[in-house]
Amino acid sequence: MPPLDDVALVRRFVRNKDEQAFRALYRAHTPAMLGVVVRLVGGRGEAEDVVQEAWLKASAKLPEFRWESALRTWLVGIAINCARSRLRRRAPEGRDVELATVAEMPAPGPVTRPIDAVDLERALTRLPDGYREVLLLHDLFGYTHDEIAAMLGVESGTSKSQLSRARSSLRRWLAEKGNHRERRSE
Amino acid sequence: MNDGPNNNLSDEEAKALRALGHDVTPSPGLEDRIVSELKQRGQIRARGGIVMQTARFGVAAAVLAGVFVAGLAVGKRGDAAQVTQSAPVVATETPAGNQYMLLMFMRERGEAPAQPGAPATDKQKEAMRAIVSEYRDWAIAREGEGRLVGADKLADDIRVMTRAGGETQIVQAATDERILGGYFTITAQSLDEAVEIAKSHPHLKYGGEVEVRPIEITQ
Repeated sequence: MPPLDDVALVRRFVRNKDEQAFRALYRAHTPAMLGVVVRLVGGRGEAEDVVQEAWLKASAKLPEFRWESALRTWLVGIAINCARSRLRRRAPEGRDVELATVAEMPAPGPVTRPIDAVDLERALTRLPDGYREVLLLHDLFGYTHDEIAAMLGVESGTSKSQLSRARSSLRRWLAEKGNHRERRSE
Repeated sequence: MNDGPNNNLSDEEAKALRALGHDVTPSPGLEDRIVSELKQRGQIRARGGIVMQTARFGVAAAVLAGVFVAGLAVGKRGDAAQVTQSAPVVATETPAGNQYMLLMFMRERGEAPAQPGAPATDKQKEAMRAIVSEYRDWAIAREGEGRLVGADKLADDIRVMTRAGGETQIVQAATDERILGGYFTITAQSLDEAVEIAKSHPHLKYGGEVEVRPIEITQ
């Protein structure tokens, strides 16, 4: 008994308000949604609240879903929107100031030494939200620019240029960190 | 993809970034929380109302009651005095005949209380008790006739296994339309008689399906 595909499950859920169809959709797509949202909002508990909100929104909008993108892409996009609303409600943490300082540093080239995962995580949290979303989706989760464009409601070109800037910013942070290390070890 | 000459990822970067991007398994309670919220919003049908919900739960409980009665039947042979004290079972000889399984199918997955941890209302409990006692009475009557061989309740966590090209595939049956909730095994002279006996089973009254199957003796 292979799992039914998304189209059949969505049809059953929308037409019959079928609980088992919804549960099957939930089980198929939630881990991917949660993976991205945990990276965006940080905490696991808060991420699950966001994913819950996303499923409630998605369920209400499903009857109008036109299958112009894959269901997974659409769901992750909704989850990102919910995460954005939540992040906006948080108090700003001086990110703009940090960004201005870092933006003046020259952009280093690709890092070719092994990268410490903790440094990388820290650098990711310091990226401005717009850059971070594109970099997470493309470089961490392997979505294409077309998919990202559909998720975020932007042009594919915007996704590309933001990724480029995001990578530069990330490298600046990593270089900063590397310089600190070298200075401390001297 | 081309992000510009200077902006492709080095192998180290690609590896480190990819290692941070993975799916996250949600907490076990999240699915039920969302389903419960969708039911409240009317986006998932709360099926059948009180009678069907308790009936489904009742099937589970009543089949368990069947096991209890079957247990008495076994005990009776070993210790008649003890059984006389514990249940009003009329001991008769088991009629000669073949064995038949009455398979109790439900149209959808059986369900414990809709919200985990939520206590059943008094009305639900009362309806459930009434249904359970009907199933139990049926089982006791068959036991009294010496027809009841056994009964079991089956949990609804179903793994379907198949083998294709030497590879075993295991999937969880999540979208089933008709599931086996339990069975009673009885004796009867013929399939027709077994069907006649099964006609009186309360499972039919509560919307369940009963499949009657002869147990084949293999040589």
